Amino acid sequence: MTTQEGEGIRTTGAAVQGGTMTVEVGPNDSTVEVSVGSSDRTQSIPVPPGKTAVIPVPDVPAGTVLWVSVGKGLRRRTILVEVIALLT
Amino acid sequence: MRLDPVLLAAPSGPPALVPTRRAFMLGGTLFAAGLSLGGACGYAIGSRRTEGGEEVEVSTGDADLDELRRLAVKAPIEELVKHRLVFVNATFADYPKDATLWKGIGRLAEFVLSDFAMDDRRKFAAALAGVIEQADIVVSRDLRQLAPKLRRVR
Repeated sequence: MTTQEGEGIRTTGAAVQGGTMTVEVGPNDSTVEVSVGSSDRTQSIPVPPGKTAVIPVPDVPAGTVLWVSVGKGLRRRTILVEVIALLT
Repeated sequence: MRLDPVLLAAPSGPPALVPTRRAFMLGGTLFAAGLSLGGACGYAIGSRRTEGGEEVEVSTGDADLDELRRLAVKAPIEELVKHRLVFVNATFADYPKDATLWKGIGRLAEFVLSDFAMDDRRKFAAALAGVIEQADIVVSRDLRQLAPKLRRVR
């Protein structure tokens, strides 16, 4: 699984359905937003500054791409995380 | 032989070249009416173009929205593509019903479908399809047809 990072945010490029994803944020960001591409379906997860957040993967079908971001407006940093199915 | 006196009417002179007062008043009234109507129509057409057109010059008072609108319709496609994640994220999260920003989403969708060398093309195409499918139907109506094509990008 590749690591994906932007300025001030880092996580893996894919997340397993029903699992968690680890997101590292910079010292000035206190929340991480996870969205499936709509303001109605956005979760804001508090995270200690400069720490790592372990975020449950939303209950979405495999293949869905999540918008994971920190910051607001044009100062927002965003990365895309694809939800994959766990092969058994 | 008897001669009867005959009165001959003198031929009338050429029509007056100088306009009469009535003609002047009529002309003036028509000019004023035309000026008013033309001004009103011109203003209305100009307002409509500014609302959803590509000539967004009027500041909204929101610096972020102004910059996003510039990216959406005026910036070169390369610049919009460079800032695509922030642009799309801000559009659906902060200004989900701004018609001008959705023109930028449309430009991005067309670009993704035509540019095979784009970084992370498949993932971005799938993410963009999700955004379009969940958007307000009014602003995304013209883009809905692109969502299935974006889903098929490999």
